[in-house]
Amino acid sequence: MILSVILILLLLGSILPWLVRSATIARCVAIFFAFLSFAASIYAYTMFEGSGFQFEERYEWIPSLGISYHLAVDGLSLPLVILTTLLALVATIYGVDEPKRDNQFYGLIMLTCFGTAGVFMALDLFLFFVFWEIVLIPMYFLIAIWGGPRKDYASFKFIIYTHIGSVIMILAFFAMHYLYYLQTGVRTFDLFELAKLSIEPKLAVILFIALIFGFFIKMPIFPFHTWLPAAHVEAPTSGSVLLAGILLKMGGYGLFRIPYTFFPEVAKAYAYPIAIIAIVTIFYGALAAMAQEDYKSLIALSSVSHMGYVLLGAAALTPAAITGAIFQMFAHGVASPLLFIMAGTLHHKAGTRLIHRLGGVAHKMPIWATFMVTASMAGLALPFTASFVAEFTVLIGALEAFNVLALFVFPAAIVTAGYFLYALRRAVFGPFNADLHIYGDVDAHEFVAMFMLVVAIIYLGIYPIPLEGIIDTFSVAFAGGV
Amino acid sequence: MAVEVFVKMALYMAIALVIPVIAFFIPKLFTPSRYSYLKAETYECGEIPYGTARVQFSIQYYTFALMFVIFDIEALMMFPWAVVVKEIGILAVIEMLVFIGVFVIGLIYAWTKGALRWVMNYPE
Amino acid sequence: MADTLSMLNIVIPEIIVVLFAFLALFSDLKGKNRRLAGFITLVGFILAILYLLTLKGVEGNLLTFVLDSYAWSFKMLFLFASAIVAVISIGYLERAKSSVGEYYALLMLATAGAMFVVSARDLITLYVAFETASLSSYALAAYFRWDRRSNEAGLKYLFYGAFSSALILYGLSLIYGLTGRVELEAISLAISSSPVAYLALAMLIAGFGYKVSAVPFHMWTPDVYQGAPTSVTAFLAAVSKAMGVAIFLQIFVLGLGSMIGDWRLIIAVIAAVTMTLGNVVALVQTNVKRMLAYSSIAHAGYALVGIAAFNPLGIASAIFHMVTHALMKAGSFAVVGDEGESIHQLNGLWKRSRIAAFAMTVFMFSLAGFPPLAGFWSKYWLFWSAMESGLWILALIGVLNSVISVFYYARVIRAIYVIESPRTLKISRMSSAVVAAVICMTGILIIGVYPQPVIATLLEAIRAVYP
Repeated sequence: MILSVILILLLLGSILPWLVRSATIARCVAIFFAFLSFAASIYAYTMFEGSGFQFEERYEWIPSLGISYHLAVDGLSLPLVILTTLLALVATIYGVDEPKRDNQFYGLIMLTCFGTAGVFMALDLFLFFVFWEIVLIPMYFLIAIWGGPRKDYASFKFIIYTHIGSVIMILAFFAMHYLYYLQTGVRTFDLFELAKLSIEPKLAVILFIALIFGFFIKMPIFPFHTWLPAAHVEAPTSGSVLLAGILLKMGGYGLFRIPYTFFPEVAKAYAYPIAIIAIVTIFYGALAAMAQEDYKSLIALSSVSHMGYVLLGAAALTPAAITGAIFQMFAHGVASPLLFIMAGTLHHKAGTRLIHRLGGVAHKMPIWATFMVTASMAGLALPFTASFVAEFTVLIGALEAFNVLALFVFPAAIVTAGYFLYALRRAVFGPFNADLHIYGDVDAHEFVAMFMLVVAIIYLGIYPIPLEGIIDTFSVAFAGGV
Repeated sequence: MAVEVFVKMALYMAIALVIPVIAFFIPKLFTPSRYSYLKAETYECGEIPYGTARVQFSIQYYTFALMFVIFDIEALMMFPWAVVVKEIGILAVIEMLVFIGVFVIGLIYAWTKGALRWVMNYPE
Repeated sequence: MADTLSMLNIVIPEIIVVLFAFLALFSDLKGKNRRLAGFITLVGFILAILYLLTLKGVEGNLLTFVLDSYAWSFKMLFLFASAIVAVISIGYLERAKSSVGEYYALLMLATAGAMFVVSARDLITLYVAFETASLSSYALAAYFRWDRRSNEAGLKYLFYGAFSSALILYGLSLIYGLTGRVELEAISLAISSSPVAYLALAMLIAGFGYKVSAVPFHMWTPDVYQGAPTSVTAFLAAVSKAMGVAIFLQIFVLGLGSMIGDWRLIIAVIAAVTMTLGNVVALVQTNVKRMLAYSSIAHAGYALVGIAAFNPLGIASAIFHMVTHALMKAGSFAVVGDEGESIHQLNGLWKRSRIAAFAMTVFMFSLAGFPPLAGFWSKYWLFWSAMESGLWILALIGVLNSVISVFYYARVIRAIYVIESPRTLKISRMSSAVVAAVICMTGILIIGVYPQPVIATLLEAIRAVYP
């Protein structure tokens, strides 16, 4: 029941803002429902015991096609559900960049979270796909209506890339559905049932590639990442928060939940190529981030690099690596939104995000600078931040699995530290750039949004057990099963 | 079996096409051809043509022609009906009444609309 | 004969429609109230729907006029779609300042013709019924006499229609010559592959291809859809197209089902080409009516996939697709008729009418096949049925086409919500088109969230026609 409650709260939060006239009331409504859903997901966390799927709900939806409304969470999805509701709260508190059609903005933000939460909960492949597509639509509007100067290009690119990914994905779903139908004569999209399929190795490879292709686009993994910098830079701040925080995680989550669950042998056989793709992604993202002048595109490309760690963890397939990968999803899901909120606030107050036009911002915006340094440290995975725990665990796991190959990742960590510190030095510290006009420090609502994320980052950096304990229930069983 | 019927049919059609062509060209061989002014005139049933060939009719002519054609066809429909009316009986009579009824409704409509007036009163 | 008369109740819906057509015709003669005829039409359709509801499950025949669950489903679709078109027309004709005259009578006669088509089980009834519907719609397409494009549409539609009728008639006569029978079931038993049968098949595919606007017989569609009054375009897309598919089903499945081996490949290829051409050409259109016309061509292609699949699911889903297509197209033409046909005229629609904007968005997403909307389910079913028949490639082409189609439907949504319009005037009126759009939208959402009852009804219905 609790999972449906979370979904209904998010859905209500996305419909009600459309129906009220005042922008302020719309925002309060959205924040209220986001808070309720966050509370509900925390309640689900406290009720979570042992391992395996819990809070299962199952109702027939379209029996003649074998489609059911089947929800449950386990150690993989529960952290991501919590992350989704947390970011719903953060995004609605941070609010809209420029006051324009506010009611619709909050509705779309909540609708995105609704879809994403659904993706993380669905255990019916069809339901999964429905939620997957629901996410696409509000995000398109968020970029296309409230976006920056190149919003048309960015939103169009976003929808083309992700839609092609989802079509290839659903083709693979249908293929599995059909194979199951041929083998048993029963129509079902249920994940548990379809996992029992015995598929000949050649076909399994094709299906595996089709499935990971869709998720690679969403994650995004080099060379399918090119939609991401465009979408991130043009999206409004709250849109970027959701994009980086949870939309990318849909790809990572799907990777574990579907291709790796269905075709573990194929995943094992192709572990090295996938690991190499992951390392290339980590490097590519880091090196490209180094060359950016726009703070937002720097953060966007750092996301590409960080999601590479998730793929590396998946490729390694040891308990430690999987725990690390999932933890990395959560850690990146709080660190990257914080960075985007910093960039958004900077844009409000200084009028630009271009690093070479900034300089010495810390003199005029001390609170902002404090948060920015914290965020950058979380980005470069300093100890005592959540990212450190995550990346360290992934690397330990990768070393177990790949030995020497994993060592190649370490230079990337140095590059990551390099571009974050280099950007900080040029933009935040040093002498104040006299051409710059700063309009005050952080506002109260921005402060609240930042503070919530910083608490999550530091708390999990110092004491990761609450989260890691849950994730371990999944990864141990998963690695054992593989 | 059925194909053979069609072969005969095709043969028939081919011959039917050829005969008029022959009939058209045979006179060319035998008739003397002498040009005269009167022969080049437009044929108007012996009358001497005058005026231009483009003559404007009243638009009402077309409405009348249409109405005429419809009722003409209606009469045509009654012949096959008359052949079988005895076998089918009362149902056939009802059907024909419905059929004619539809036409009568059409006629009343056209009448009320003024389609049967030869000279229209155009609004000033 | 007494037996025949006792079954007369199965034609009562048609009789109601025809009688109300005459009523609508004469209502215009005295009072010059534009709405009166529209409301009479609406009442007629509603009465017919109500009577038809009492006939659910009734099976019977008057000679070769048959009422079974197949015909029942199609009649329900026609009556409902025509009623929506009537709702659209009430407001549309008023805004266009058109005279009402024969409009509603023609609309109802066309509907009656379509209803006879789905009950016809012999070639002659079928042909006469379908000409009744066609002739009425030619006149409807040209209804705006002062509008050159409407004239062009009517004329084009008439010429192409007459040509295709000639082809169909020739094909039908060849079949009659081969088998000596006009009843569809007798034909299916008597016919066998022969060169003449192939000729007849080619004629029929070409002739009916025109009617459902399958490539390469689609050329009239964009011009007619664009030129005709928008309410008529809604009728053409919703009812005429469904009627075309119904004839396809009756002739090819019921009549020539035994020759499946000879026509399946042709229909499959036509389906593939139709989907692809419709979607690709729609990509570059800037006139929404024209774009929807091409999309309608593409959707005819989807429906043909079901016929090519030739299994119970395929046929049921072809009907299902016509149901959803009717709702989506009637609704979107309603909005287009209200707002203007150029895509720029839709800019910033959300500000002027939120209901219309939301409804249009639902139609576009449904046409593009986003789950969980009605358009998704019918397409899903069609492609699934193709896979069941081993037509993998056809299903794949269909899916790829759905992907392509997203882009032009998204352009409309983008115009509605994203592009700001200089027209900031807020008009909060509830036009008849908005009412129609809301009805269609509700239908799409309900079918989308819970398609099970429709699926079950149609699977039951096709038992009547599937050999």
